[in-house]
Amino acid sequence: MDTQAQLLWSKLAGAGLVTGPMPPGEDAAIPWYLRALVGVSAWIAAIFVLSSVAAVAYRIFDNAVLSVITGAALCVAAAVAMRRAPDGPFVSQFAMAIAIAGQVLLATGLLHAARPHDVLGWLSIAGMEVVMALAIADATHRTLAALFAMAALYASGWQSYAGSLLPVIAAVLFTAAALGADSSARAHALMRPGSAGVAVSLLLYVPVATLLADVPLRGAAHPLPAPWLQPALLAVVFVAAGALMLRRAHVENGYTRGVAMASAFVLAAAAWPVPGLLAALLVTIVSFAMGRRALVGLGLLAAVAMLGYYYFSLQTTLLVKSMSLIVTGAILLTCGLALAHRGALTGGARDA
Amino acid sequence: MHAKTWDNGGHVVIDDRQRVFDWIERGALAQRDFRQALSIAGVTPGRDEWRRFLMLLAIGTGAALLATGIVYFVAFNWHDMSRFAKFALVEAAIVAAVAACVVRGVDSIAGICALCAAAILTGALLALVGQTYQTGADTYELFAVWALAILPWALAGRQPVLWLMVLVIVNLATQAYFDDRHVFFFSTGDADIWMLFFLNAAALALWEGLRDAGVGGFSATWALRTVAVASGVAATFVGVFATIGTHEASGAFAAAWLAWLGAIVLAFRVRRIDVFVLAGAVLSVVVVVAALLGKHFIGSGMVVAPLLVAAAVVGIATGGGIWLKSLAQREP
Repeated sequence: MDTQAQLLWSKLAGAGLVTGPMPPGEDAAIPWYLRALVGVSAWIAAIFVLSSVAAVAYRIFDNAVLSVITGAALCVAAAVAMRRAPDGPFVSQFAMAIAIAGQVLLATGLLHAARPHDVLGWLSIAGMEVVMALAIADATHRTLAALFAMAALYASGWQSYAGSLLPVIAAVLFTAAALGADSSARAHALMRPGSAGVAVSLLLYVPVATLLADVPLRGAAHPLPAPWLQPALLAVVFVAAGALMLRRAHVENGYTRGVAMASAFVLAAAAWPVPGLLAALLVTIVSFAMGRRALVGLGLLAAVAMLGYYYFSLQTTLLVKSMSLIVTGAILLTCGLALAHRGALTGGARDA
Repeated sequence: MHAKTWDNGGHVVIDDRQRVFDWIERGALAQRDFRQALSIAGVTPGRDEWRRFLMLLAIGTGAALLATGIVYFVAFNWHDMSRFAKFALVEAAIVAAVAACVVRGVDSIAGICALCAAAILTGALLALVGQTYQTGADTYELFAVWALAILPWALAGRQPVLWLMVLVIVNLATQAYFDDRHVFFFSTGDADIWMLFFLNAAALALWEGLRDAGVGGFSATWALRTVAVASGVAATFVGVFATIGTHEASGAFAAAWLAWLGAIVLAFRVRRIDVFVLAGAVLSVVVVVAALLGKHFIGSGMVVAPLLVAAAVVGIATGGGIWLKSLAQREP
């Protein structure tokens, strides 16, 4: 056990929350990038597991029943292996590769079985992923399962009006899961990795949807009859999340709250024409509130990418785009400098 | 907020929060006390952190939107506006940004954002020169001159974000140089792959050296890790190219990738420990070995071959994970 854990234990003991010696034996939590290493490696291994299944009996992929049975068998085997050997790193990682391969097979089978009702097939896959996230208590697997579940949900809405509203639903889900993760130890184990998967799906929605829009597919995404509805709803979620964050942070100073909320309104209004920008900023702010630095970085990176993408979008002329960006930028700068000025007056933060 | 919450490792936040929940699960800490425990652990930002973050977000986003807006305006090439007015607009914006940096101080959030905006606007100014006078310069020349033009600010500003901008622009210049000559990936020429590999590897070595020497602007761990990611991606391409395809230079690719791997271990394991960079190296090994084994075994007709490759991939990742986890305990 490292000294930092000992220090924390001493602080908790000082507050009367714990007594006696610190429980021995537990390891420090695994940094996110080691989880990412495990996740990517499991994916690569899963591709080879699927190749192996195909080498044995390639017809499995063409038969819905065989796909579902084989996929379910692989998922069950993986879940059992991970429960029986939670501390056996090789077994648990190989089991994760098997689980991913099983889910791909299950998804293939469910889509085959549901034809021609594709929506039903995708919704079944989303449900299956939720079950897998609950069944396998591994953080990396839960992140991937949440990501797959959201991808399946997006796919289910691709040919309906509901598809255009799914980013809004994802934004609400992410905020709720991220905040709910701190409600209890059990919720933390499930919702913290789950919210990461939903966040990644939210950030990937616009680039993937743009890419798919350029690829000839069966059917096409149905934009809403009222195109303003999706950005308007996202703006509502963004402002509401901002207010919630300030409340949780106990920011009681009226001036700071006022400037922060004014910035939120300006951002919500400004992000209107830039697809994905508001979602990226939502991920950034909520992740900051929850102390999740990797997601903060990912959100900021996505925001920059969305601004770059805006250049190529054909919704309006470059002149209109430039004017809207310049005006919004000036207002945001004013808000930021007002906060800095206030900090200088009150002797808060050093910076200006 | 707890002083260690935002340290350079980036995993301390997770550790303390995870520990609190671990202790609850073990019964050492009561469930009803977890909010207070999280507060004591300092894993959520306090009032000052929030204000600083909101300030950074508002000023940073505002500066980025302003600079981007001016770039878009230049790209629009509005014919109703004279060329002198366009130049005056961009140059005035650059002067204003630099003046804001001087007034606020280069170490302040506003100063850094202003200098970054000035750096972006310099690119817009160079593009405007090319657009107005039809200089006939290649794209790579624009990027190269842009990198050179903002170099003095990077030197004076001593901010990692400016150095990263220089590196990104140099990468773009390199890519544009080879694109202009119609030398693409998988074509007969490997020069672009080599150039990107050497460029980013040299950048990482230089960054680490300057960090060791205590030169201002190179101490931030996140920035070094960003450069390490760029270097790792280029090196992994080189490693994969060594294993697949029919490149005549396969041997040289393999030697270069192995040399990069050795240098990473030497710098980030022997000299000092950085688990993030080492995790990237392990991932590179996983990808390259998967490509190598996949190429040799899958075509062999052995039914179990893909399973063996999967086991090898998992084995490397597991071994690497155990090694890195033990190192993480010792990481300063």
